[in-house]
Amino acid sequence: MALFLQLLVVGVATGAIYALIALGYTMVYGIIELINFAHGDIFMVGTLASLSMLNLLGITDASHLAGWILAGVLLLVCLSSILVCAVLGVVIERVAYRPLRNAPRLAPLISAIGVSLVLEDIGKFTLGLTPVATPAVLPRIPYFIGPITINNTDILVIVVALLLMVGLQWMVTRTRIGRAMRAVAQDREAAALMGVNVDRIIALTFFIGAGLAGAAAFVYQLQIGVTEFDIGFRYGLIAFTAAVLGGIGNLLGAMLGGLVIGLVQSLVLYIPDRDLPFGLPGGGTAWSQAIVFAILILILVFRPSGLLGQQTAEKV
Amino acid sequence: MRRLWLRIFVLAMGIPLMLAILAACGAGTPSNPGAATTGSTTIKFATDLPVSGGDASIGKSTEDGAHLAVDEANANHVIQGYTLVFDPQDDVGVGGVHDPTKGANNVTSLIGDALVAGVVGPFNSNVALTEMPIANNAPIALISPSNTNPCLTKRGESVGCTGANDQVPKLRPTGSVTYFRLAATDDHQGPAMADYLFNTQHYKTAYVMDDTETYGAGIAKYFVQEWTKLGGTVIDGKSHSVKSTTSYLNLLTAAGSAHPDVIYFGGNYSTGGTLIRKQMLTIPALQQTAFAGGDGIADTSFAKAVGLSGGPNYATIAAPDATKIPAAQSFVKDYQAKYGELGPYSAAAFDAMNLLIQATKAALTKTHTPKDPSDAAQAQVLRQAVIDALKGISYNGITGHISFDSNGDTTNKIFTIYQVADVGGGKPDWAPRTVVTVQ
Repeated sequence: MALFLQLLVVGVATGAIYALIALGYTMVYGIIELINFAHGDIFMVGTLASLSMLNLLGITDASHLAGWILAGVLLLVCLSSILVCAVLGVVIERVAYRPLRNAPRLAPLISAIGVSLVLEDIGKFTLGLTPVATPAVLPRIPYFIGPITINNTDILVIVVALLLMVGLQWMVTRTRIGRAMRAVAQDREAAALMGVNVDRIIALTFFIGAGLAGAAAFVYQLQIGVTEFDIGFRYGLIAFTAAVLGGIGNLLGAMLGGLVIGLVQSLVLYIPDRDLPFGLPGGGTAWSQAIVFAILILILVFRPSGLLGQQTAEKV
Repeated sequence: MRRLWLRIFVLAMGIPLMLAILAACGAGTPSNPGAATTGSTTIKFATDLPVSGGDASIGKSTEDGAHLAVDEANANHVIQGYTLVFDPQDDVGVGGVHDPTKGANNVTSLIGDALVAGVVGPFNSNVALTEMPIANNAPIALISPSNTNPCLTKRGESVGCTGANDQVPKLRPTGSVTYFRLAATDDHQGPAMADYLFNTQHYKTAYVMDDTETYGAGIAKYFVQEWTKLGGTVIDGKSHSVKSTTSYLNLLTAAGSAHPDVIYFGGNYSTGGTLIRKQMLTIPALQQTAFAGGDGIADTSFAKAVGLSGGPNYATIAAPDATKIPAAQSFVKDYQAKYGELGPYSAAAFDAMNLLIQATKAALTKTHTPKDPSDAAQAQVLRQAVIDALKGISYNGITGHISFDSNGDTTNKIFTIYQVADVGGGKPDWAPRTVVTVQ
């Protein structure tokens, strides 16, 4: 039982990162119906930005920061990660997607893949081909709650994910900018006729979506603390799956999808190492990726628009 | 149509068969064994190693080990009445690293020089793949100081050499062994680490994981077998397979609740090694737990990423570190005086070359040397005699007592245990701890 509860904690803590990245996929899809394949690699650039900022500040494993200095450093690293990603997102949109906005839908998709490869190569160039560790700037403190243990970094990840999610939901539904976004998503031309600056709103969407990936990268670096040039591809694939699972275009769906995948990946441990149909050879963990995608396929067969469905009601 | 296919089939089978019979006749013809004095008084001992470009640092130190063996044999007149000539070849190709095509060309030209008795090399397993069939057909002995891929000499499912990895028929076209090696194969890495952790570190409980790939799952399986045989406990009694992914936290959580002394990982630093080691730190119960694996994690990047925090990290490398072997101390002194820093394979290359010299000495009691570099017929006789001598050799080298099993693999399965440590200035890297020999 203790193990089960612990696995739930682990699942939620990993799922929260997937969810943060998934939000970026779903926002971009919601507004211009483009699957931004470069989004996972923006996450990788975020981990790189956090790492570079720490190196720039001269922080190593040996420097034990505390109090206000620690808070200041964390804030600085967090802001640099978010800003680098957000600006990168806007630049990518300007360079690779905007010129193709009225082209056939396949064209921006291909340019998205191209951008993804370029970013991966930048990662290779700066990180090399091997995993690179980040200095442990925030000391990891475990809290023991009954039978389960939870690290301060896991709590941070979950809290950050929740706050950003609530903030984003509020912005989209309650502010003028959010209304403009929804208007552009519904009907770009009509929105333009009503005086909405469509280009700016789309750029803003990229800014926020990529910024969220930057935030995810920051908390990931605190939680795990090792990055690699292809980490964006690996996390991106799962986060994209999470977005589709929850219903692409739907912000709450992306959160839910991320959590579901995090939990599934964690709980596959219970699938025994036996021959089919009573288990899987090698145990569930050897098949966790396959199981995630099998669940995705099943859900899409029965609910083609994902768990929560696309937010298309407003398009009537 | 069917008849045509039958003919093609008969021709395809028949021509190699005829050639094989002819080759067998050639080798079998005795060529006046009494005339020992008619042959050349110089004999060449070759190496084929990557000694330039990207492989220079590791390859050159290996070549130097072999060179030292030839020099010492000349100084000590190991083969009375003959001058031993060192004939080094470089298999680095245009790409700047070891090149299978270049290696094959080197071996072909060495075979063309009748005075070459045998070759120490190759260094890399992929170079061995192109060189072995050529050397086997000649035949000429190849002694590798460093190849660890089991499928170069072994077959069958237990070592993962089936399907596309079932290479032996291709590598050994004549069916008889002409390739030998001093590096223990990957399937012994698991037992080597199990012996060390159980007997020296006195660990009792192990949690085992692997990356589901041939190399990783293989070494993990043999680790589990040996650990159980020694009397240790393997949690869940098996290796936990996990395909390269983003999170290993579920397995590690389960591992943490069982409080193992060590987590053994079969795989590479890039297929989970580094990530698992970093994620262990997020689980309080595993923060001081040891982490161990094969040479797949023995990479500087792993040491740098892991640093000196958390429990100790161990890895096995299939090359004896001569500085840790008492019997090798005079070699270490001589080598350092002549070439400076010892390489990881210098000692193995020294032994490999000495084996070749000893085998040639034994062969010369039965036959004689070719009379000049173009005496191909006598070269074949001498080289076959060298190969036969190697098969039955029993030699006390600096790395241990060496003989070869029926596959050409060494019976002296020696490994160096490395541990991540501060190698100076707070810089973490793998440092040799001790050597272990697997029974």
